[in-house]
Amino acid sequence: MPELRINSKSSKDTIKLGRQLAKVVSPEFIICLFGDLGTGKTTLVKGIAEGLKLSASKVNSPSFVLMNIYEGRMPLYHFDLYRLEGTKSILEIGYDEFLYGKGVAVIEWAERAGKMIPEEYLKITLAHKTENERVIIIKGIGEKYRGIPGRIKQL
Amino acid sequence: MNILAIDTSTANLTLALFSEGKIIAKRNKKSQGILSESIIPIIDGALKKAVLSLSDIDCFAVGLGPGSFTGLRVGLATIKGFATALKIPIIGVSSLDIIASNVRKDNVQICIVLDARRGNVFAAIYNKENGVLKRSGEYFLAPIDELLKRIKKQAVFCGDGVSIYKDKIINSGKALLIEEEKNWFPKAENLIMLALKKAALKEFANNDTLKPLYLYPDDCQVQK
Ligand SMILES: Nc1ncnc2c1ncn2[C@@H]1O[C@H](COP(=O)(O)OP(=O)(O)OP(=O)(O)O)[C@@H](O)[C@H]1O
Ligand SMILES: [Mg+2]
Repeated sequence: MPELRINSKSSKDTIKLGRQLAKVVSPEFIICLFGDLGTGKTTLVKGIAEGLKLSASKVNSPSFVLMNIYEGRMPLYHFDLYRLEGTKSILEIGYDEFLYGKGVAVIEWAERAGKMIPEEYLKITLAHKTENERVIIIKGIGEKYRGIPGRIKQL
Repeated sequence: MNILAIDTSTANLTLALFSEGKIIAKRNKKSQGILSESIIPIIDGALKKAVLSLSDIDCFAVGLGPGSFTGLRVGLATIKGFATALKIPIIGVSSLDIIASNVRKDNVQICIVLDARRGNVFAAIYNKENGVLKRSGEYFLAPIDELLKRIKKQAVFCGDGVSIYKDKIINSGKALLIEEEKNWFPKAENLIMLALKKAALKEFANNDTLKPLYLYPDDCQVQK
């Protein structure tokens, strides 16, 4: 399984990666973010929002709601499952309709989704290295996402 | 009796108006944008075309799902709002029953399968005898393999789950027939027919407590 390993030396690097990710997404594209508190998940989402020409300043974390929608050229559905208790609550806000809807879905704390994890998605795992460095690993889960790490690498 | 029937459980909004013994207007609209903004104009448009006004409606019929959570919520909230204001009754029908009534073949077992994502389907099994459709067992949410195990006798398969699990269904040997795609979705004209039967039996819903038929995977505990 080809995966892409990136050393991010600052939050700027992480934002830049987000902007590159925005170039490979399309409606019904799902990105699941894994990684501890403060590893840069929301920072990466800000980069994606910038790349999609949405207002990145509106992107925030941790949220008191399970999902934010940022409208733009293509809507960005930003889930943060940190506070998720039970799966009923995400299903009831229309989880599946957003995942397979008109925009890009990004899920922070995807490890909390349990069995609600999509069958296919772009898996991004962030980890602390030093205070300002992060290791970011990008992997495609499922047929649709298999070639994505390679495409990002070529950007 | 004038009936307005609507189902918003899938990406296709379906609506029909029944008046003086026949269907006088139909609408089938693939949802574009936000349902909560488009539903009222669609209802308005159909009424205008039929030269009826909301106050002429005697009863609403609504598809209860299972299906899209937001679609169901918006559809039911809209109908409840109208029904309460006009003081008229609502008849609720499962969207699986509405789809089952699309199947023309008689004296068969029918299995409705809808894609519920992550390997699961919303399903129900029916027996049709001399034109009368009877559900056997509950509406359920289960992995496709489990559904196929539950089916004891060859059945007609219908619903959008067929497109994803066609191979599994055929290989299981449980399929007598696969229904054609145009019959995979609820049709409001069939909802009218089901509602008329319920109305004759006075099976009206309690407008205050009527809820969509939400089915949740029972084994999906969140990992902490
Ligand atoms: N290389 C880096 N990439 C991303 N963020 C970095 C980096 N170096 C330092 N930081 C800092 O780490 C913090 C990351 O915060 P962020 O909200 O993006 O994390 P998070 O993973 O979303 O956390 P949470 O789990 O609380 O939602 C920010 O304060 C950011 O400035
Ligand atoms: Mg965050």
